Amino acid sequence: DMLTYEYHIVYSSSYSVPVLYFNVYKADGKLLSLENIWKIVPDVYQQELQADKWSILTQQEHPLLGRPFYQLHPCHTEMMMKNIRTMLDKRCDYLISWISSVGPVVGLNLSLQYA
Amino acid sequence: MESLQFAPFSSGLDAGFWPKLSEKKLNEYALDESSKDISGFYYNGDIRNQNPILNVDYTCFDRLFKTPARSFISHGVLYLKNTIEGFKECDKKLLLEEKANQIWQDIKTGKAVEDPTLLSRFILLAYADLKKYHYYYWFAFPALIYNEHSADNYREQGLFMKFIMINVKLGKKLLTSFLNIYKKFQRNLTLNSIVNKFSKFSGVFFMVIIAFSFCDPCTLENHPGWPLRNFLLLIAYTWADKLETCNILCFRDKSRDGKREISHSLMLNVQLPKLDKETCPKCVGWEKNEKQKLGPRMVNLSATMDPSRLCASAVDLNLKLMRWRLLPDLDLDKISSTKCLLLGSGTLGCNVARCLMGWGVKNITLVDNSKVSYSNPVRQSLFIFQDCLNGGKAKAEAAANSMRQIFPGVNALGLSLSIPMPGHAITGIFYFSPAVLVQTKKDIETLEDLIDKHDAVFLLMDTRESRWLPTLLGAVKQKIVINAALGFDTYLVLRHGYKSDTGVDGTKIKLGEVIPGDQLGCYFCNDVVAPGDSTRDRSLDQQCTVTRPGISMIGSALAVELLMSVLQHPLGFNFFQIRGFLSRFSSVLPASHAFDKCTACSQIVMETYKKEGFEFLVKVFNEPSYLENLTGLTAMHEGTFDVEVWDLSDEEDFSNKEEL
Repeated sequence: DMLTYEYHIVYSSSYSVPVLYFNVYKADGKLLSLENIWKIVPDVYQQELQADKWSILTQQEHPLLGRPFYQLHPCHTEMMMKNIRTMLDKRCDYLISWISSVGPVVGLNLSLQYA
Repeated sequence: MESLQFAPFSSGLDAGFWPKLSEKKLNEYALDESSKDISGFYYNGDIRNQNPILNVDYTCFDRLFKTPARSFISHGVLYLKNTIEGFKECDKKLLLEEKANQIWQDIKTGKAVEDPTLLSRFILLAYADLKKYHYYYWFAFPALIYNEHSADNYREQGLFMKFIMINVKLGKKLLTSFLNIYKKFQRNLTLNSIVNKFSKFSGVFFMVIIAFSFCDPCTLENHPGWPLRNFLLLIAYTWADKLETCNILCFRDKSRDGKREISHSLMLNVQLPKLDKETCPKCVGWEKNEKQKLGPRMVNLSATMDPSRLCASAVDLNLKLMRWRLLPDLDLDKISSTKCLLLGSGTLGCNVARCLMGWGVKNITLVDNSKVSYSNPVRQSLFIFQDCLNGGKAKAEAAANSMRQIFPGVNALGLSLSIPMPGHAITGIFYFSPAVLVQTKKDIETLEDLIDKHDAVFLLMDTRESRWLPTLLGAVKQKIVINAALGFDTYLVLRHGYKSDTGVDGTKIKLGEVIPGDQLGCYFCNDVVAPGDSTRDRSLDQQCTVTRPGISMIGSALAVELLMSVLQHPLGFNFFQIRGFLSRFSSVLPASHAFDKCTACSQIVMETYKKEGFEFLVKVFNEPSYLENLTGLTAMHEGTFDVEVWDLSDEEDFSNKEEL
C-alpha cells in the first residue's frame, strides 16, 4: 500500500515563524485520518505526543489551497528556535535548523549532507 | 535472449484531485459527459523498488499544465459519467480502441517522432456520487502490442557500464561536445536524421553507444517501465527496415541525501520484429484494481468531504479539546446523549437550546403553544424576522428548524402544545364543551409521554401555574427538572429535588445543615397557596414578560450549566437554587427543604395523581381551592388565623397550637 507524503512550508504572519503543513494520502487520493497520523509519528516522540496530542498535530485549512491539511502547531516554534540558535553558530541557516528539528516528527528527515 | 516484460503503471491520485473534480462537475461540466483533456505525469527519480506510478493531481485540469520538476507529461482524457449505470455500461473496449487508433495514427504520420510525449497517454473513466462522496474510477494506460519483444540485458558488459557510470556533469560535457562536432556536419538534428546517419554504423562510434533512451519511471532491476511499449512500436514502425536490433537506455536518475545516481539505469538490446504497417495493433492497458482483478476502484471520501460530517466532527473536536485541556474527567458521551425537553420556546427556551447545542447535546425537544410575534426575534435567539410574517410561524417548530440550520446534526423536534394549568378551568369559554375536555386529555397524555421519553426537563414558561403539571409529572417520573424564571431584573434558576422512593420526612428538617438531594424542594415548596390564574386582569406591561434583555441570557446559561454540573456529579459544585439580582450584580444560593404540604411535589399530591390520573387533574384545573384542601394547606391557614385570634385573647390555652 503506497502512501504519499506532501509537505508545504508556509510562513505564518501571526506567529512570525514558518509552519509545516503536510498531508499523507493513499494512491486513491484518500487522506489518512488524524488517529493514523498520530500512529505513524516515530516512537521517539510518542511519549510527548500522548501528553499533549491536540496541541502538537492538528488539522487546519491550508491558507492558499483551502483544503484540509495536517499541521505541526507553531506555538512552540519561536521558543524552540531561539534556544537552538543561541546554542549554535548564528550563521547557520534558519530553515535548515528548523526543518531538521521539527521535520522528523512527521517523517521529513533531512540528510546530514545539509549540515 | 529472454522475452521482455514491462512493469505496468499504477495510478496515483493526490488528496486535492477529487475535491477539484467535484468542483469541476458542479460548476463547469454539469451534465456534460463529453471527454475532457487532462494531464498526468511520471517521474524517473523514484528510490523505491516498485512499479512505476502515473500521477494525476489537482492541477491536471489546467490548460497550461506544467509538470513538476524532473517529471514527464502524460496526456490523458477524462470521461466523467453522470450515473453509476453509465459508468458500468460504458464500452471500455471501445474507449481503449479509440485511444489505440489515435496513438497509431500519430506513429504512422510521424507526429510521434517529433513529439514523443504523444505516446504517453491515459484514460480515466469516472463517476462521482456527490451526495455520498463516493468516487468510482478506472484508469487505462494504453499500450500497443504486436509481438513479444526479446532483449538482452547488456548491463553486465563493462563497456556499457562505463558509459552509464559517467557522472551527469561529465556526461553533459561529452554530449555538448559531441553535438557541437555533429552540428558542423548537419544543421537539423532530428531523431530521424541521427538514426539515418548512424544506422550505417554498427556498435561503437566515438566510444559512444547510440541508444534510444527514455526516462524510465520503473525502478525494478530486470524490467523496464510501461512507456517503453509504445516507444518500441514507434521505433519498429519508423526504422525497422534500417535496424534489426536497437539499444535502449532506460534512464533512471535518483537523488538521495544530496547524491545523484544513475547507475541503476538499464541498457537493453532489443530485437525488432517486422510489423504489419497497415493494421492497428491490439491494445492493452486497463488497470487492475486492489484485488488484482480487472475492475474499477472506489474511494469513499465522505469523512473528509461531506459538510455535515465535517461540521459534526468539528463540533466534536471542539468539545474534546475542552476535555483534553481542562476537564479530563468530563464524560462527553453522557452529555451528548442526555435527552432534553424544553417547555417554552421564548427567550429562555431559545437561549437554553443554543447553550445545550454548544455542549453537544444531540436530542432537544421544544414545546410552545404560541406563534412568533414581531417583538420576539430581538430577544429570542432562534427566530428571525421572516418567522413573524403572515401571522407568525409556530414557535416550537420554528425554533427546531432554526436549530437544524445552525447544526444539521442536531435531533431537534418542535411541538405545539398547550399545557393545562391550575386555576384555568378546562371548560369552554361560555359553556361546558366536551371537545375541550377531550383535547386537554390528549395534551396531558402527550406531555406525560414527552416527559417519560426525556432525561431532563427545563421549565421555561412565562407563568407560575403552567409549571405545576410538569413539576408533578417530573417528580412522579423521577426526572431531572430545571426551573428558570425571570423578573424584570431578577432571575431564578432552581433544580427540583429528586424524588427518591422513600418520600420526604417533614420532621427531619434542621436549619443550617446540608440538605440531601432527595429532600430538596421544588418551585412550589415555598408557596402556601396553590398556583392560580395569574393572567386575568393584567395590564399590558404585566402580560408580556418585560425584562432586561441580559437577564434571559444569564438565567438560561446558568440553567444549562447547572444541568451539566448535575450530570457530571460528583465533579464540581452543584447548587439547588440561585437567585440573582442584576441591579446589584449579585446572587445568592439559598437551599430549601421539600415541603410536605407542597401543592406540586408532596406525597399526597403524587399519590392522588397516580391513583386518579386525569380525574384528579381536572379537579385541580377547575377548582382553585382543591389542591389547598388536599394538601392540608387550608387546614394550615385556619390554624394560622387561630393563632392570631389566640394572641388577642386574654386566656392562654395551648392545646390547639400546631407546629408550623
